[in-house]
Amino acid sequence: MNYYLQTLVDGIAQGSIYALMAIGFAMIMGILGLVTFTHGEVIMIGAFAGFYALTFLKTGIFVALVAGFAAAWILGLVIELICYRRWPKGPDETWLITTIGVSTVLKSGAQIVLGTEQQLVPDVYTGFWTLGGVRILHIQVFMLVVLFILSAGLWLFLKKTRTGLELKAVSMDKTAAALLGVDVRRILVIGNAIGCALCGVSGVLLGVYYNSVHAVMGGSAGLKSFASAVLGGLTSIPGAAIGGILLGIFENVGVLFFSSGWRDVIAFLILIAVLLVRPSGLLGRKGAEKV
Amino acid sequence: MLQVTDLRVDYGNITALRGVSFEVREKEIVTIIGSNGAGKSSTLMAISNIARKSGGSVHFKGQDISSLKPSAIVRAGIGHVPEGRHIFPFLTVQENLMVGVSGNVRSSRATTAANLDRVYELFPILAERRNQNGGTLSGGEQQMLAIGRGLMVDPEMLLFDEPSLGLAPIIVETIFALIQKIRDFGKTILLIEQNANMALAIADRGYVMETGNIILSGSAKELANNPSVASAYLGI
Repeated sequence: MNYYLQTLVDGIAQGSIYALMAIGFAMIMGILGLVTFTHGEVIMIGAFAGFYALTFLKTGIFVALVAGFAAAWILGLVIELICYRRWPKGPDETWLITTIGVSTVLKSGAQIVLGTEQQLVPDVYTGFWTLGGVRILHIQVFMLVVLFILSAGLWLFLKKTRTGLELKAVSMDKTAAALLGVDVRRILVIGNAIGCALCGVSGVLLGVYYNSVHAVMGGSAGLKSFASAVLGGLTSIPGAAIGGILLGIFENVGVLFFSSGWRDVIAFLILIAVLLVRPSGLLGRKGAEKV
Repeated sequence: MLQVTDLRVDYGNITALRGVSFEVREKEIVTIIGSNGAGKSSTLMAISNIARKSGGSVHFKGQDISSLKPSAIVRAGIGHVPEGRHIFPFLTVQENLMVGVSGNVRSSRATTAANLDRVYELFPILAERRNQNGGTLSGGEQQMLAIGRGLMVDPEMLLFDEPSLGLAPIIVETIFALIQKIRDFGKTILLIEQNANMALAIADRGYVMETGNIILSGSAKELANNPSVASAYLGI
């Protein structure tokens, strides 16, 4: 029994990282109306920013998280400039291609500049509690707290501020928003940067939790955030959070019944199964718009 | 107040506007009538700079606004209630209205509250449904919400794009009565309509568009009595 509970705890902890990435992804997806391929690389850059803060600057975890947040925010601004702003009039596919290009440049650039070896990330919060035979690491609780604080902050921002309202309006109808005086360009920049910054934080957590960062870690991370967001309903932010946690649990449960090599296979099989039953995802919105 | 000169719009190989010129004076209701595909909506979209102009200019109160961003044009004083209403489906009625405050250059806590009260007074049904999602409203209510949002911007001039489209006749009458009321608030109005009867009934002046050109202009009365207009657009 403990064994199963332990799996659940580990799954939720891992899922909290996926949830954070997926929230960022859903945010960007909602505001652009398009998938972005730079996501994994933004996570990787965030992870390295946190890693450098921890190892070379010897800062605490909080500064590392801020470093990941800031690095990814700035990268988000650069991505917007290169991928989106320069090609406003082209067909939708243009943005897909530009993000694929920038993602490749970032990945290869990181391998050249940061090296191709895994880097060891020092431990933070090594302690743990034992509750009825289930081991809960301090870092696991810390990750959940970070997820909770950032989602609550995002929720408040979207609910209470004018920019938050404009973000929601732009994600639903860019033309209508522009005709009501919303500066759509500015909102795209801010929304994209916030989405990237959340991914940056998730990258730092990923590095700290697994004690390693790697220049090509973005590929699988980007895929996981995409999968979590799809599970939750693609552009729904609460959906993305739930989707991320569920994906984390699926993966760990999969390992329980099969070997760890099957981790991703099980996770994605369950994802496919869910989408067969609910194609719009768990909290996805069906097109309810009246014409 | 609004001066449109030789406006041209192309969508790829298709020319939508072939040099359209007209003007709207302060506190007038001016209507542009014409059939589907005549270029009426393209004219409004080009004024708001949502559609890209391939030529011509738009002046508002003497200032050239041809190349301003859409949001800047709104903030300069031209509100636009688009065709098809474009309600934000998953925002509440009140949130839909509050988005309009972004375009209001004179907004403060007090003016926002006063404008909101005025909209709810004009449209009591919106006040009743203020916490309901915009997407759940009926077509007529959505049109009222779209107009209400335009009033939250509180612009000097409002562009209406086919406000009667797809609405029951009784609701159309309500909407047109409202447009007159909005003019009485001191707003200038440019109204695009296929429903030429209704539009000419409330307008001061009108223009008739056909295949990207303005082919006729005059006072609303003259146009309503013009035999060719009557046969083509009034169904007489």
